Amino acid sequence: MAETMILLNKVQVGQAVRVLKIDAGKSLEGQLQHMGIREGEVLKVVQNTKKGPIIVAKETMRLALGRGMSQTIWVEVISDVKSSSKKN
Amino acid sequence: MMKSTICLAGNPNSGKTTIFNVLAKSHEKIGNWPGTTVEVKEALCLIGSEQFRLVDLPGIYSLTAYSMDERVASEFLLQEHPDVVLCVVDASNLERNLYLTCQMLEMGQRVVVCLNKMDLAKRRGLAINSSELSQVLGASVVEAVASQNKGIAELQEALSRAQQQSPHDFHIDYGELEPLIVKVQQQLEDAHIQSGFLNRALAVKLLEEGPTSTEFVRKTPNGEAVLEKVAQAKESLAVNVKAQVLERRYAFIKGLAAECVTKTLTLEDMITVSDRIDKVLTHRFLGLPIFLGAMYALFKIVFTVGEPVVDLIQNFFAVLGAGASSGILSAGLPAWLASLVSDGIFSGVGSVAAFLPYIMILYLEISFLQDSGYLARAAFIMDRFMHALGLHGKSFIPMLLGFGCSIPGIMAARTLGSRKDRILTILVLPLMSCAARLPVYTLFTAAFFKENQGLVVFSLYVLGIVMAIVMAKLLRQVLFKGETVPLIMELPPYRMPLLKDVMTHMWVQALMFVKKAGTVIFSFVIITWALASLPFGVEYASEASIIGHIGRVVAPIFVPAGFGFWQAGVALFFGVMAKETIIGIFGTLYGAQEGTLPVILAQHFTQASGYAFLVMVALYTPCLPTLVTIRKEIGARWAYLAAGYMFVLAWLMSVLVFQIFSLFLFFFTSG
Repeated sequence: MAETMILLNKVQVGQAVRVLKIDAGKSLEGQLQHMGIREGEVLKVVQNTKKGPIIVAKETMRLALGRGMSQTIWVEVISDVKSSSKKN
Repeated sequence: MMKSTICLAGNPNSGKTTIFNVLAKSHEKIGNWPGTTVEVKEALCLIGSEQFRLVDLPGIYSLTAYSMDERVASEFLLQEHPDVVLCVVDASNLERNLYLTCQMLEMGQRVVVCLNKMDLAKRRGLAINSSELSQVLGASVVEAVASQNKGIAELQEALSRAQQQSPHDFHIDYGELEPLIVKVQQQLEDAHIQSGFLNRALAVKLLEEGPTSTEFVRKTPNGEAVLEKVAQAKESLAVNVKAQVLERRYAFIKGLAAECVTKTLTLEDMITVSDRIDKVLTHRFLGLPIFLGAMYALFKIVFTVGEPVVDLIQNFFAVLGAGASSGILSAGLPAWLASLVSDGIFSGVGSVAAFLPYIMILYLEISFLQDSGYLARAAFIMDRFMHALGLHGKSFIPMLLGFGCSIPGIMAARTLGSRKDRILTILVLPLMSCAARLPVYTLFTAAFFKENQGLVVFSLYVLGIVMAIVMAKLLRQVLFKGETVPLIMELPPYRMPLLKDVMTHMWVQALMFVKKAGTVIFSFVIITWALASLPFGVEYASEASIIGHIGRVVAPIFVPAGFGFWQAGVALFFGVMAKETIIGIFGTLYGAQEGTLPVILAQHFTQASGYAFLVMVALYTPCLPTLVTIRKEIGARWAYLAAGYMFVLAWLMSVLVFQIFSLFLFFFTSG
């Protein structure tokens, strides 16, 4: 399991991930929790460029997370980018 | 008989405002938003034959005070005792929304749940068993689509029913913590601590270290002792009590949502229209140009659509003023009265009122952007840049609102989680040119930059933004060292804004402007007129009048900026009360009707000094109401700081602009 654990900002667009650990300090973790980002939850990365914030989807919710924020969330990839999307 | 209070609560983007507007349709009365201790929107509403006080809490995710908004909401509930809490829940995102509802129920509130956006939920393949939800929660659950007025009658019925019922006994089972909860509850009872919460809920809140509740208990006579006992009891347990409480509550909600919601679509299918729009609007390269284009269009529309109407109103006031004045004279009444009516009232108030169309259009556009969901995207796009300034994208929304009026912008900064971010945002926010400064820009550009009016006005907006960037960077380095709190922000799905919501928002703002024009501005115009006419026998608005003396004292400061004459000094002096008065004062001092004011101004200002004056107006000390709001929100010393630094900054910039502009003109015309 440890080898599949990566930071959220390293996840490619279209990949679904499960949240393993959040390491952002009390207040931010609390905020994330109340918005539905908790350990064990499944998210999908909708947008991720090299700089700036990323967008994740949790079911119908879209959440923008600052780059710094995304670097505190450890996840494991549970599904790869669909083969239909031709991305390198 | 006291009116019953219905309090609206819900997550941001749950459609709370729409519900508020629908319910408040008959007796709309918006409370004073920079209000007293707890600022909340208020209206009267009529259900059946009974009148209710309808209170709109800010949109929040929980009652745990992570942001100022959440603090305000939980303080309101702790101290006031609303008769019914109407929880507006976004049905398409049930699980997250239920958290707040459960907190309300735990507190012992009489809750009515409004499952809003049922249409959206259906489209997203979610079927919700609302009767089961109602049973578990012990509260009425009403399905609704507020944007189409569906379910509103049922909602009203449920509200009036709930008011007569006693609150359902709602319990979340906290498992092994139960004995501890009972113990704390007993301690609260022994200490005779009473709050708007049930004692059980207060006990739970203490265990999960809710800051508002802890503070509340600490302030009670026996509070300290109780808190100490709670701390001891917590330590005696081997588990992390706070984490355990949250985990139990989340588990309960997750279970409840799983039981009541049937999903027919998978995560893969949930790529929505909204996501497709986002692919373009938040695109890495396209996002920013699109945003800037939208901003340019915003102001272009204000001028193009507004101008003919403004002209019309100006002419109307000019004719009215002249007519009234000659009427008074021909009726044999004294000349000073004619002067008061024509020079004071009509040219002063009229010149301000004429700009109402601009303000209405601007607000219409801002609330359109806000309701459509684009404003959150703008924050997203700007996050990268804001980060470079030591702020984050969320600070951008208050600043954007500042283009309408600084005050709602300052209030909106409450959604920011960190106090440092909040103070910093508020300090630079008044540099955004508010709608009240727009009339001054329009008037001066009409006088000096007829051909490039739009461009020159745009440059002032840009100047404000650039200065805000510089100041934010500077303040961050000097006063607020340390890390920026990262961005967490929901991007609501795009939707077509409801005409009613947009109109209501615009109308409320326009009404405030009219009120301001009618009271503050009116009285300052009268004062100016009086000061310009006294001492007796002096020529109206001449240097020998009292106002001439005031102006002469202030004027020398502005000599290096090119407008060191007393009229400008007076206008700037009174402009601190409300920026719009600047035109009114010029109108009164020069005794000009609106149409002729640009011509008269051209005799006093040059292009260079005119632009320098605009730079001054764009950047100098915020108006008094703004300063009062800053004081109320973050404290007096910050208000003084804002007043002081902005004046110095404005003076420096306008001197710089005047000197460079003059030099440029000199070479340009001579060579």
